[in-house]
Amino acid sequence: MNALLRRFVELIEADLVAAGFVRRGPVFRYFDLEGNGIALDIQRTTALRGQVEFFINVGVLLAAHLRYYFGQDDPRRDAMPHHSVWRHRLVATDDTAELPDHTFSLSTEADVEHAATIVRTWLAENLPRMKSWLGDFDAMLVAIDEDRERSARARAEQLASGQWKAGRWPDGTWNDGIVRAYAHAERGDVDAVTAETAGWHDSGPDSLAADAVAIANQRLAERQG
Amino acid sequence: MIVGYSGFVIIARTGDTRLDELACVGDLFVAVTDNVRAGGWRIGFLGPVDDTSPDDLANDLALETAAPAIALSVFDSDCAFATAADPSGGAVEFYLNEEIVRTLVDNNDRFEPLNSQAAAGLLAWAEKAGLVASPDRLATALEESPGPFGGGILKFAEALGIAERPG
Repeated sequence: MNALLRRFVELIEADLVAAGFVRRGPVFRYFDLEGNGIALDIQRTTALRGQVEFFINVGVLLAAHLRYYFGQDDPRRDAMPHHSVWRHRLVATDDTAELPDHTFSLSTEADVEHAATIVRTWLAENLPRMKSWLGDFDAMLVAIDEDRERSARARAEQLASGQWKAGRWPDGTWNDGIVRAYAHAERGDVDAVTAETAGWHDSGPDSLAADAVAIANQRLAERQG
Repeated sequence: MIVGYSGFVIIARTGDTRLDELACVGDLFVAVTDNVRAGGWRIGFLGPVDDTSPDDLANDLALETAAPAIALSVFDSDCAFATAADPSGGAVEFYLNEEIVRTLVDNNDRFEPLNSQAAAGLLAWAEKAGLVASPDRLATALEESPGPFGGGILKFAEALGIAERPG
């Protein structure tokens, strides 16, 4: 591994391991007992010789959603941010930048320290929030509403000023339909799941929609049994 | 602008062992998605990798797996610099899409044509690996680009006799 990248990984690994994450290659993963989790991926991208460039992607993982993706395979080994219900690509620039840039670029030791500080600061601010969502549909649904309102305010402010407004937008993007579908499913509310997934592109027998309906039916049967 | 795949691809026979469980791959700090093929072969896309070359990685793979192995360094999905190695230390250097490689090398004097000699070496490599290669398909596959989703590499592997895993 490139020496600068190795040093960067060492710096952020200290915080992530302390928070319960396990690293496999460039991906750090944290899971609770029910299989909900968080994945952080250092995604390399092509760079000039002597430079290392990468993105940092983070995702919050829903156990039922992972079971759909992985079946019998173990998501603790392979789950990635793109399997998440909430995902975010960290911004590598600070609030003084004219436009945000997601590319972390390391060519000196100072770059390593700067990049690690950005990531560690972001983790310190956001890990508690992400962990609070794990296994708690109500908390996720509240966060979805809050983020939607914050986005609307940021959009209005940005359109009025005609300029990029750093720090105004909420971090991350929700797959809110998936959260709602599995929230209804866990309550055994088959009708609500069916309504939520009615407009989904794929509704075949192997689809995510069918999986949510199956869980809803199972939970309903458990309650009635 | 469409940006293609640039990075390493490896072909190795590891049986039930995932490619990222190999020590020589674990050292590279990569996330590998295995394309599992018949006969215990696996093809893995590693992405950008530092501090190694197709020669070194192919040799490391062959030594660690005790089986012939291949490493390719793909440039922008268009071409690849590659080595097929075997555990006895034999190695065959070749390109995927030699014509593109030729255009990439600024100074034509520095370009080294490999594929006219490599085809025979790759057939011998396949024999050492216990594979039944197709000379015609191999010749065609060597002229193709790796492609954005690695389709050219899968065709190359199939030409060497590394087949899809039976359903």
